[in-house]
Amino acid sequence: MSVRTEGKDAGSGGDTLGRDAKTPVLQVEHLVKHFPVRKGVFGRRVGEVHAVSDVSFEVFKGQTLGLVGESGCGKSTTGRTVMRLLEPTSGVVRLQGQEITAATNPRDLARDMAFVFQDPFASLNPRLTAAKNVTEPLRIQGAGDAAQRRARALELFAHVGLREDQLDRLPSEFSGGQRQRIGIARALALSPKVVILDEPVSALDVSVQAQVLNLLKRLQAETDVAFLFISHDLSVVRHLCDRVAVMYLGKIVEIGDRAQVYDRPLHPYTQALLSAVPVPVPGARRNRIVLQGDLPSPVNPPKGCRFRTRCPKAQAICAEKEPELASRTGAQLVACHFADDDRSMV
Amino acid sequence: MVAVAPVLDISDLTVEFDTPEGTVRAVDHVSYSVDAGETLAVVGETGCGKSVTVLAALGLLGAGRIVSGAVTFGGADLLDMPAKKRRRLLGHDLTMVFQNPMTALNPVMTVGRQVAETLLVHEPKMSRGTARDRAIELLAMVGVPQPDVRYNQYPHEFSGGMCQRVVIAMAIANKPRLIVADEPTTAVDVTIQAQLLDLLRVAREETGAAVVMITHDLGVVAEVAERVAVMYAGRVVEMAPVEQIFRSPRHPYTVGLLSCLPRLDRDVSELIPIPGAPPDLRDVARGCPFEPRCEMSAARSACQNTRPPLMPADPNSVSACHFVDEVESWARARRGNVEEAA
Ligand SMILES: Nc1ncnc2c1ncn2[C@@H]1O[C@H](COP(=O)(O)OP(=O)(O)OP(=O)(O)O)[C@@H](O)[C@H]1O
Ligand SMILES: Nc1ncnc2c1ncn2[C@@H]1O[C@H](COP(=O)(O)OP(=O)(O)O)[C@@H](O)[C@H]1O
Ligand code: SF4
Ligand code: SF4
Ligand SMILES: [Mg+2]
Ligand SMILES: [Mg+2]
Repeated sequence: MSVRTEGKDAGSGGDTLGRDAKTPVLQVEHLVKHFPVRKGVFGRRVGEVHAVSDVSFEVFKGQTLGLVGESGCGKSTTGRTVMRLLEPTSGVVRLQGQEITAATNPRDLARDMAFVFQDPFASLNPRLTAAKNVTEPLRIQGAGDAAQRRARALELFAHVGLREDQLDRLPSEFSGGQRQRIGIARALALSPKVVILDEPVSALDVSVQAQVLNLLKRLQAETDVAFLFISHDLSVVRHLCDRVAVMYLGKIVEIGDRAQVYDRPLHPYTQALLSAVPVPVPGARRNRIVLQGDLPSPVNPPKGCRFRTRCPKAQAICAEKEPELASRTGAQLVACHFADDDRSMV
Repeated sequence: MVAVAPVLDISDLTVEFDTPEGTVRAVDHVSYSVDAGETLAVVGETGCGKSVTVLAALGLLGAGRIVSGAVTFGGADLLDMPAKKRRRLLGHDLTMVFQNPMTALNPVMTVGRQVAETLLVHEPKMSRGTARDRAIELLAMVGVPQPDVRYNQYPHEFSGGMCQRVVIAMAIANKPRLIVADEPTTAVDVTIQAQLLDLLRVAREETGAAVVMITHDLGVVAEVAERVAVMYAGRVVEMAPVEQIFRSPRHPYTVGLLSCLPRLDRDVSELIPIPGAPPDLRDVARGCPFEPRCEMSAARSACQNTRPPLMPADPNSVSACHFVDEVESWARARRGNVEEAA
């Protein structure tokens, strides 16, 4: 567990994490989050869920970083810990260069960073009208009077494609897609620099999902907001994101520009994941890499490379030495001892 | 489509539910059939009636009411069949795989025993030992590791994907003639989905069964199906061979579904969403149910006033659109407009 998962020091100028001279709005360095596993009547601590283990990435202004991976790999925990909805076990998060600590006032944080949840219904207050839900962050900040907030609600509604006559309806009167628009409008209420979206379109039907994806693209083009977009849907991520980080069992195994990761994945897990997605082309001949077995438990992650129990390329060294997340081809970082061996797998 | 009778034939099925807010017509004159060795995919968005159609057809509907229609299985009338006889078919000749494997598994019985029981119910004369051996073979076949050890474990000791494998083992145990799989991979991860789809394909090949695969995922459709039925608001709006559905869809809704898909295999300059949302089934438009969202209709009165019947669109396909002949050129123009704007 002592191996650092980064090639060079983050922020040392250049393009360690895939971007030229641009400064990131959000920097996450060596983020760790463990949850205690308790047992018995006295709730004795018997172990730890290694939900997020030493995760580092950056998100740039006006761009979207996609965080993908299978259920339980730690995507949501990463997002929630970055947002300080969960206290990190260790690691550093910087928003516009400023370190967020336990002492950071949540209200200050909320001005620059917002969160959109998968289930818009659960995350809206059912007793407040749509307008009040959307401007709740303003009220908490004590920003503006009722009339000003109402005006802002109207502005936000127009922004996300909702109608004025819907302002005073309750969340229950909206469809799933409309509720997600309300959730997005609320996240944008304070014009944040970064929005973390956790599976925001996963509960929506495809026809409605496309509306929300187009909306997100348009909003980003208009406001230069940065998105951390968490999703298990690799097609959606390809469509929306500039850069992609692939997680497996609490770790980022590959991160790079979208085109690099999708067109030339270097990590065996990324390769398998991409090859497993069915594409809507009948008769498409694809070399599917079918992974054996299930995800190991994050309570006792495999020693060495965490992917080795399912990796078709695993060798003896994979059980002994954890691979570093390091640069292979310029901007793309990969955590595999044999990443450059064979690219013909996909 | 030759002289052989289909394994399952649903014709003109209509199902309604009474709710406090009025009557919901969940299935509205639906017809489709599936032949031995063939996979028919039924695709559509949430609530369009995919599940209710098969539940009603197999006599598994709880609250709803079958208003009209006929369903035959291997020529025998399933709707008029005595419940006892129908129950004997279920689990043997005619099996189901649901989204949540726990609905099919007994939490307090070992996994192996459940598979063995499935065999024994079908063949009461089989010895316990033979049933056990066969069950272990089946577990091995569906890819359960260490099947002899796993035989004695309970469902909660299995992952979701592994439980679904067991359900598939039970579904194929008695060489069924029909397997109905209702969103069998919706709850699992994509690497597990790949395993399960492979398994279902092998199962079909081994048993020669007909398969009805219900899904909302067009990628899954392209992968497994020979034929596709597209449902919208309780109706089949288009049915065609799989290549044709993807290459030249003949209903505006199918066109819309395909062009709002983000793609893994290539960059899409812009998604073209279908405006609006699927209708509340208590309040479906009087004419064509798709009319409120249909950009091809341009508010024509036929669309607003008359239900389009499902009619042959060409020798291979049927479509429920008054202006089916316009669909191809409209779809091309629509795609062109967006690419120009981009
Ligand atoms: N409060 C908690 N207590 C204990 N373990 C937790 C807690 N929250 C998450 N975990 C565990 O941490 C790991 C990562 O969970 P997380 O929710 O981040 O996954 P995810 O990638 O978002 O998955 P999904 O795609 O299913 O949303 C999982 O093993 C999960 O069971
Ligand atoms: N028990 C029920 N009572 C009332 N309405 C129901 C019931 N079961 C299903 N429905 C309605 O029937 C319609 C079709 O449902 P279903 O077949 O489950 O859709 P799907 O295509 O997602 O499988 C939906 O509008 C659903 O709300
Ligand atoms: S380090 Fe070894 S086990 Fe890990 S991904 Fe690379 S080859 Fe596979
Ligand atoms: S009948 Fe009219 S409204 Fe219905 S799909 Fe065809 S053009 Fe559209
Ligand atoms: Mg999650
Ligand atoms: Mg269903």
